[in-house]
Amino acid sequence: MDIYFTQKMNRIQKVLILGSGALKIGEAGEFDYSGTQAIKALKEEGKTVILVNPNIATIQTSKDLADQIYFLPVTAFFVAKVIEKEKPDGILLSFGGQTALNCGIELYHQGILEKYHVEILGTPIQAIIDTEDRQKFSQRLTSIGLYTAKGTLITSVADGLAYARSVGFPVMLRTGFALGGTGSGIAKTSAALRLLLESALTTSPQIIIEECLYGWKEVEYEVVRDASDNCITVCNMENLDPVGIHTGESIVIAPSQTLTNDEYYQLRDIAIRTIRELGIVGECNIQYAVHPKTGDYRIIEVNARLSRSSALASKATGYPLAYVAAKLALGKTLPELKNSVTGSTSAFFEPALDYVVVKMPRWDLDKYSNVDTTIGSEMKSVGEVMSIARTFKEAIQKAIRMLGLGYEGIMDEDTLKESIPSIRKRLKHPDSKRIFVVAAGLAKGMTVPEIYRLTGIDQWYLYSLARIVQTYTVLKQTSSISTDILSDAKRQGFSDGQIGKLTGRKEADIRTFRKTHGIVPRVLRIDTMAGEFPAITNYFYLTYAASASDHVPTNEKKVAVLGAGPYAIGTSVEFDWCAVNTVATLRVHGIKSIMVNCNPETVSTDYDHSDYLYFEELSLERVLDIWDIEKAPFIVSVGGQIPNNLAPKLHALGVPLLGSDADTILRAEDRYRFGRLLDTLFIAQPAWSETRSLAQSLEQANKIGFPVLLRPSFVLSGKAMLVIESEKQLSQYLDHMGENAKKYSVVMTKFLQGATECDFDGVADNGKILISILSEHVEKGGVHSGDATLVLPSFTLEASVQQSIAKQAAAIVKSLSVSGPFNIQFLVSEGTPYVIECNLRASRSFPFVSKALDRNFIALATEVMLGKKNLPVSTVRPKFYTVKVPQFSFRRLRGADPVLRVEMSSTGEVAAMGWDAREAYLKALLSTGMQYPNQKTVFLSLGGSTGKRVFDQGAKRLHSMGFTLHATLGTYNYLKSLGISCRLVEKLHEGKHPNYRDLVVDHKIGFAVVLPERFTETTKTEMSKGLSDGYLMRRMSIDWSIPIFTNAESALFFIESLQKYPMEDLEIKSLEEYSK
Amino acid sequence: MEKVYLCLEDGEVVEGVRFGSLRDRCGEVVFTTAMTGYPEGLTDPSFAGQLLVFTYPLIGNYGLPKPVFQALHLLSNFESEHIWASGVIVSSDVETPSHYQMHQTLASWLENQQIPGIAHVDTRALTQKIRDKGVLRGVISSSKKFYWDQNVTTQLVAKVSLPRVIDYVPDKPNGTRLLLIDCGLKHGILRGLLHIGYTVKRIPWDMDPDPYLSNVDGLVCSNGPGDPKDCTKTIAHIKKVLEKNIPFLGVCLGHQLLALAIGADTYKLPYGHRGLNQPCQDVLTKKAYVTSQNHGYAVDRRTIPEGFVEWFINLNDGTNEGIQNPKRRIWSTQFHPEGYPGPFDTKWIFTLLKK
Repeated sequence: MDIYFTQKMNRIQKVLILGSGALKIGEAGEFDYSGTQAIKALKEEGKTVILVNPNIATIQTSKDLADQIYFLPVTAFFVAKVIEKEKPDGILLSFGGQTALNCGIELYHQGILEKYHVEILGTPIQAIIDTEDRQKFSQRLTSIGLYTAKGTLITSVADGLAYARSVGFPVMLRTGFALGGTGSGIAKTSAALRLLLESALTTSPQIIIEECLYGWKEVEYEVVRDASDNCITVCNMENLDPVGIHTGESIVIAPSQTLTNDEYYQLRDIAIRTIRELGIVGECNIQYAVHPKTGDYRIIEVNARLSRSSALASKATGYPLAYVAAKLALGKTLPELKNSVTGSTSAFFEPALDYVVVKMPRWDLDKYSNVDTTIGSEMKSVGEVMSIARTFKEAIQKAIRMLGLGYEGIMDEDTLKESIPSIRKRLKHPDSKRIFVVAAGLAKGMTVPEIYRLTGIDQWYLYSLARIVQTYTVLKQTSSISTDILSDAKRQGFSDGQIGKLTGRKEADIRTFRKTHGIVPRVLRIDTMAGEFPAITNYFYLTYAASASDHVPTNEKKVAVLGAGPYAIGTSVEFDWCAVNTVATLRVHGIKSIMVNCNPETVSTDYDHSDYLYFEELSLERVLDIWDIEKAPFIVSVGGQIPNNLAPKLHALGVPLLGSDADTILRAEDRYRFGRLLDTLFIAQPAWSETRSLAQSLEQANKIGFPVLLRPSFVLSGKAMLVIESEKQLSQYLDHMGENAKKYSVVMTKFLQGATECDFDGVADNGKILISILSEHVEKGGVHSGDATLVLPSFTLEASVQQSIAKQAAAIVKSLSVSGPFNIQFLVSEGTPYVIECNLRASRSFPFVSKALDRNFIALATEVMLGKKNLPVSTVRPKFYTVKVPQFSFRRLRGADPVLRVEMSSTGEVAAMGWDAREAYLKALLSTGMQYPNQKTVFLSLGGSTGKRVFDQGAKRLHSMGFTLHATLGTYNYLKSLGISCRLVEKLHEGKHPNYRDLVVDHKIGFAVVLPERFTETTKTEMSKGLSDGYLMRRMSIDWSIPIFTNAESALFFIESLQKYPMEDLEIKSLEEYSK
Repeated sequence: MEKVYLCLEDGEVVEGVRFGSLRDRCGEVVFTTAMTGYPEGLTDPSFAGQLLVFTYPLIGNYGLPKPVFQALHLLSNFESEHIWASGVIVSSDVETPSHYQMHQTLASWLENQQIPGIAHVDTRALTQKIRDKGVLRGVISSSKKFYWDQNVTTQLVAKVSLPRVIDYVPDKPNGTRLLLIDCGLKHGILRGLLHIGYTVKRIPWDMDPDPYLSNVDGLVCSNGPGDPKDCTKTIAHIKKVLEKNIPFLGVCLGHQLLALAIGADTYKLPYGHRGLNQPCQDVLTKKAYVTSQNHGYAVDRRTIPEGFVEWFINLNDGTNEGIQNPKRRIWSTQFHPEGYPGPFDTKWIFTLLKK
């Protein structure tokens, strides 16, 4: 290494890291993992670390990691201001996903980095630009004799069509500078291509049309290079689904199963030649298409940054990629670094696996209305799981259970009911249930070659799946169960529950039977070297394909913590923050921590966070297995829904759980018992009733009074709740449900209109509140709390109301003798608080309140659960406002209606601080990727009379702010009647002009407010699947990236904020400065 | 499924399921951490006399291709013409392989070559045992009793070396002529040499190279099985060649034989290096390479005589991985620059012999 380089590196003392912002489809928690590891690596080297990341739920934005944290948008505008203020010596761009990378490129182009002498650490900027620019990328690799897909740059629809005709259909359309393949796709006809081009050209400056590699195998390598040109490939991975299905949508296997040594090492060699040519320093991911019949290859893309795949590779191998990449960015070399798993061998090596890893995406498409459920070149999944086993069969069946969707393995009874023609169709047009469809096809006698022809899934995998199907059939036909059959089934990953169901036995009986016969899973260690060297870390998985365990449990004082499982709608990085902090607190108190989780996109699954990490299923069976091995008490209240649902079952089986006891939890969560408790405490709750069947609900609804919130005991296309406004609507709904209406019971609650919703979060010890805080929602009741804007502290409620909420909360907590975390939700209607829900577990808002108040709620809760005595009681009153805003991923979900409802639909959250709630709100909103309106034009479509009434203040304010108002007829007339001038926009379905589409296409809209007709419209849409004008306008706004508000209160709040704060006036302050 | 046993010399008996040949075979139980390349590995003559444990749990995924000869006694897609390992020990043998080049399954190949396999073995536990206790002798057998056949580990090089002299001409000759001593040659080495453009004369391990020396520009000594000290004849020949100042390159066993020829010592490693991920560093340039390895013996770095320097070291355990005397154009590496299986990041080493 040259002296100049060493000197340059020595100069670097202060480093700026860019995060990726909120969790969204295409950018999930994997960047919390990479950023957190990077910060640790930098701190080890004695650097001062500045972090810009508005994601308040992350571990990386916790105290004691970075020196200064800015909860600000990761955009050039804001980051430039941070640079101006902090004057860092270096910047890391590759740890915050595409968001950070794009921001860095823009800062570079604007000359900001040069102006302030900020060194880009790691991969040089030109390499980043060249990998992002498909044309340059292709040129550079072609120049060293490597193959990339043939293609050309397109700037207009006409060019695109012409090129496609010249190379022949189908063609692949790709977009440059876009995360997760937004806007890309395969077009088989010119009509289809035209549609894709029109949409893609609006968001991406660069479109490429390429030869279609559909059906080729998709293979990835993770490559590492240091500044001295030492290169390794840490891992390769193979997608089960062929090219054409985004790798984020694919089941992924590590290491590759179907490549020969020649193929494996040729691709590895190409990966290294590529990384050298590009000059990457740190880590990158390279994706290939490999022809299944010739072995020919194409390089699809290179990600010159940490990615979802690198997080997966890191967990799959035990090689801490992000940590190493950060060290390399500071000029360290690979041979200088140690393998942190063995503690003795070199970090310059390529992990040898002695197990198989399967990653599986988790989709939540059912949670949206109108959404297209097919999967393809765009990413739609919201999270993923990773399973580890000694056979592919065991691994894939484990992975399916890890999803937490109720599936026991590849066999799904519902899919098995489908006809062969329907299966054939679904195999050809894959959707999010593809693995079950493949298994059903095999079960119905379709052959492996036939399924291969329809799906392009390598026959190796299909044969393995066929073997599972065969065992399924054997089990189904078995009346007496032998140890041979059982142990064979366990080796293939069948659960006790499924074996029980197939053989007519109880899950518990199967468990007892196999335990008496010694059929138990063994604990194996991930050691990066396949047993060649001993490991000092305790990174474990369980498998049936082993006869001995690597791990002998000790009698130390230890506690096991159940993590949250995959990211999903409703379960995001906040629960990982909770789990990580729980484990950290255990360590502080000298208690050995055992972490159980299966989500590779997390920090909790880094093996150095806990004393023992079980990368395992969060199923009852597996948790009991771990209990049998470790005999440690469990904490189940910090990981959200999945562990929470396990709690009563574990308690019933005598597994010790720390925190509030199971009966207390039931008293809080059982509607009847909790209702009675509130009555005895004289605490108000909205009227409610439960009826045996939906059919009988009419009478009850009338008693309670419309509108009512309906919660059927089954799930209708993923939606468990809906608001019904009138008797007529209820009858329509009943008609729609048909026979089902008679079968299921339903809970109805009075829906309080216009009520203010609040979250009351706290920690209690034996019924005494130790700390608590009230956050107020901006949106009125009817919006799921996970989709709501939270303001801390409360900004509109009178002191007397706040006091009475606190009093009621104290009474509830006392009478339940709560020990641990709790969350109570209130509605305030006409000055009266009503309790709507009480949960005795860490809530989604725990990291938010902890950071806003600089008090670690979860650490305190853990201390309570550990039985620490004399914990301090504290009251907190923040001097500044913190506002949390949901992040939606509607753009990724074609067709989804972006309306906020009682069911949650956001994928993540961000927060920002300010001396004033509106300033904080504006910064938070901009952090979700929303543009500050670039022109004073607004489009209004206020559905129904309520919407108009609620919003007229907003319209007046906009008018006085000098905005030009555009409105559809009803709204237009209403505004005219108020004396507000505006321009008429025609309805879309009438075909007259100008309509909304015209305005959007001509870029005439600064932002839009499209309110649905209260609840009716969405409910109707859901029932009839018809498309209203409102829906089309909302959807169009999303597709054309126009800031849109579908809720009156948040729109009003936004307008107030806009009036008060021009973008330039938003303050650049770190959390540390606010908290001072 | 027929039961079969792996009986170890320390009395442990591991039960498994038979695949491949029904014969019983003895061998030294060693493990490889390679995740790919079982066709290359099993045909590597250096594995002669050994029962090979694969730490990767799924073996046989892509079956075996049809052997393709690119020249006389030179295959383009295997490392020799036979399976040389005595037996195969795996966690799962894959019964339903799939690959467009597949010609037969692993089980049928083993059967045809009369090599037994044992599956459903906890290969991780076995590997850890070898790691802790060192290499063990064992037998794959239908009975639960350990026995030993002395012939299995004696005269190994003599068994695997081809007793013929063959001339190989490259497609594009570069004018350099090499003599290649076959001590159990992996065909990959020969392919690598031919690819560069060398004209190669392959001779058996015990043949005196002297008559050919006037017509060659360098000598290569190949890999091979067993204890290097057994190859007294080859060591003596190398000594003579070195005296004549002929450029030399040794690979694996060839490296150890060079060391012995110049007066250094070799010793048996507790459990060897067998895998595709071994990190080696050039002592001088500090540049590091991932290498493919298969050896049970090593050169004692403390005994390297004057004039020679340590070229590479293993970054994991600090053992010697190569020696050189650049002035005299003598080089040798413990690892396999050619890969097959594994990485070939160091294949440039073969170019050093160019005139």
